[in-house]
Amino acid sequence: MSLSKYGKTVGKVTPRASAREACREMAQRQIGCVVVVSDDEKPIGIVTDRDVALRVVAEGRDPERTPVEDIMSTGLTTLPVDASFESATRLMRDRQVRRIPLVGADGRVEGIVSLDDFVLLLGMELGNLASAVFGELAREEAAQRSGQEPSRR
Amino acid sequence: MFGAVMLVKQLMSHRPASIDADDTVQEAAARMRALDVGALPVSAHGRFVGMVTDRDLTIRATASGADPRRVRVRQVMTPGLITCFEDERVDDAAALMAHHGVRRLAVVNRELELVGFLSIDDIAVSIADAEWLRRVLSQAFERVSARRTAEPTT
Repeated sequence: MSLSKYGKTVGKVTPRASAREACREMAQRQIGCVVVVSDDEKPIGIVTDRDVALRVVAEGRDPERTPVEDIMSTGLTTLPVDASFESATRLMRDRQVRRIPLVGADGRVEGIVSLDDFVLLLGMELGNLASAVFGELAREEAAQRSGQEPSRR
Repeated sequence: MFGAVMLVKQLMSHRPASIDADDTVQEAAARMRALDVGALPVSAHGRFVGMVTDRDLTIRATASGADPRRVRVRQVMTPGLITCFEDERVDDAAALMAHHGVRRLAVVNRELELVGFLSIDDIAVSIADAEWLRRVLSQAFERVSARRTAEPTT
């Protein structure tokens, strides 16, 4: 499974953009973070809705006058947009990060994957798998009961 | 299946301190930081009246251009609490989330006291938890194979 389907819903802002602009971008796109990019769209940092709540709102800073470069997290871990699902989960574990921006061959940001995306996806897949096993058990039990106790009402 | 072996109280997080509906958004953010939580129950006149998340503070308060030092929690909270019982099955709680389109439920005991919260992430993480899955699946396979060896094949 490739990560390319996560390549469309990324929000981008420049380092001098205000925290307010970052919030607007998140609100419009209904996403929880934006990637901070240079003029040539290379990733520099990341700002989440929680960063804004804790680093701007909690401290009483003016969101209009706080540039995202003051509140972003840097030292980004990125992956090529055509990387595998497994390489992303391994990187999240090894580097203890929840979000990984995806970059194209030219280094520009093209998407982002988050731990939440994966946990929901895996949770549903594993839930389906367990349902299949339990469904089989229930059918076998029912078959066994009807076989053993044909006259039971 | 899975809800039959898991109860809400096994996955829920315990209730954090609440924030008053008339407190400011800034105060709510400061409390979330101090408690290291992402959501707070909102109280007014001794009753719980809603829920506010770090995301609400960003998306509803800050993005709109309002001043977080002046906006009140009641203006950005999600009013009302969708509740489930702590001794309810997790799959029933998940169905309730789906029905109401919410990611988080307030959990009450049989005395109707708010005791915690259950989020969709809590459930997804527990399902994706390999240790839990290994246990359930190996039990299931043991039962299946035990029955198969016990039953005469036709």
